[in-house]
Amino acid sequence: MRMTQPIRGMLAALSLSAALVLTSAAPANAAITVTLSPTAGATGTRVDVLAANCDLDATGDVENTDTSFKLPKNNNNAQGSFTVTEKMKPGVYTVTVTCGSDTSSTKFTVTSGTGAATGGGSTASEAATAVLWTGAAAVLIAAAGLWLLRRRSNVPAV
Amino acid sequence: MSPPSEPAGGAPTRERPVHRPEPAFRPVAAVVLSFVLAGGLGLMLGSVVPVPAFRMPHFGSPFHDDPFAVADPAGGTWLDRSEPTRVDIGAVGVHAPLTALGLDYEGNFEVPRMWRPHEAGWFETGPTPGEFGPAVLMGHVDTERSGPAVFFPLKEIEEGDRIEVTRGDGIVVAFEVTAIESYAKRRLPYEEVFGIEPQPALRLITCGGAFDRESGDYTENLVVFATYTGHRDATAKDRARPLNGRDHFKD
Repeated sequence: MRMTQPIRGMLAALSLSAALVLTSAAPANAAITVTLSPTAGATGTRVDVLAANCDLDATGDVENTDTSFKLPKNNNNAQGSFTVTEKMKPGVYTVTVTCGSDTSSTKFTVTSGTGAATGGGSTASEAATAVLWTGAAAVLIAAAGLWLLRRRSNVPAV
Repeated sequence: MSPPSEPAGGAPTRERPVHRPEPAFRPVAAVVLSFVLAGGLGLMLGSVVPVPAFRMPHFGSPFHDDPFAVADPAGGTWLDRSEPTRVDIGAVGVHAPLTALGLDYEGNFEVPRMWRPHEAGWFETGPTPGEFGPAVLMGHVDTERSGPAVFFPLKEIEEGDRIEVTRGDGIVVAFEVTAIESYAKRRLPYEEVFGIEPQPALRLITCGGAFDRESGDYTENLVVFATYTGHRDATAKDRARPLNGRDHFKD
């Protein structure tokens, strides 16, 4: 059956709009993703947690601890935070967010709070020692010069 | 006429001091030598007492800054998780393989082995390069014996330099250096180093500052901040790039 031009055009427009609706609706059904900031920290660090594509009030749990927290919904995302307690020994913890029937998790690392020991010292210059010796040499020369310049008060005036 | 220095009513029988003509050299030299003495003492003192690094005070907002106010993890087509395998910084000649790093038993950052000076590492529990969030790479500046190690050239890196990280899935992620900072190791700002940015981020960490012989460690960490600029599939040319092996660091 041969369709007239306007009907074909309408069908095309309909399928196009349907496709548009489908693609724009896709993020709502997309898997929720949990993001932390920062992703590592020591005791006392406040960690912000965002569950993207979660349009409900969500709850979060830190595995193997009694830390749990709420993530109120906020514009297609749920967002909350927790603080690293002293009970959380250094190590890797899984943070799980439950959003309705969906769960998603990511990892947080509790560290001792220091930086990284990324050096052995073989290229470390002895700058401090060099400066010390330079200073010592300057002091020695100056002292010797002043000693020579000293008024010899014990030389009797003629 | 008695000289002005002579006390008034001095005994006339007292012998007057003989005026010895003195060249101007002596007082000038004395002043100069005094300055040298003071300078030398200052140098000696400065080399013994550690001079604290000056840093502008940071005035944070009284309200907790919300990192997600400016960054939307779902707001871009970021890459999925895939382990990085190598890092290339053409500007300073870094071509290094990557190993996975975690924490040691004390809760400090694990670092690549001292006997593998050519190797850098990536912080395994964090995001991978190209994923949303900060990917962290660590490498030694030097080792106990080899001299300069994999991240020694980071001293010369500049803002705008390009860093490429190749991942296990064959994607090369490109980053651009945005900042280079030094922090005391005891005050490494985790919020900045391990915090998110609007785009996927990369941090390179190595050592800097003075070397403390007692603790056997450097006092500072040098952190290079870089941000995502794009990605591409690895080409044959990318795959043919040589890595700097262990022999590169023997000198």
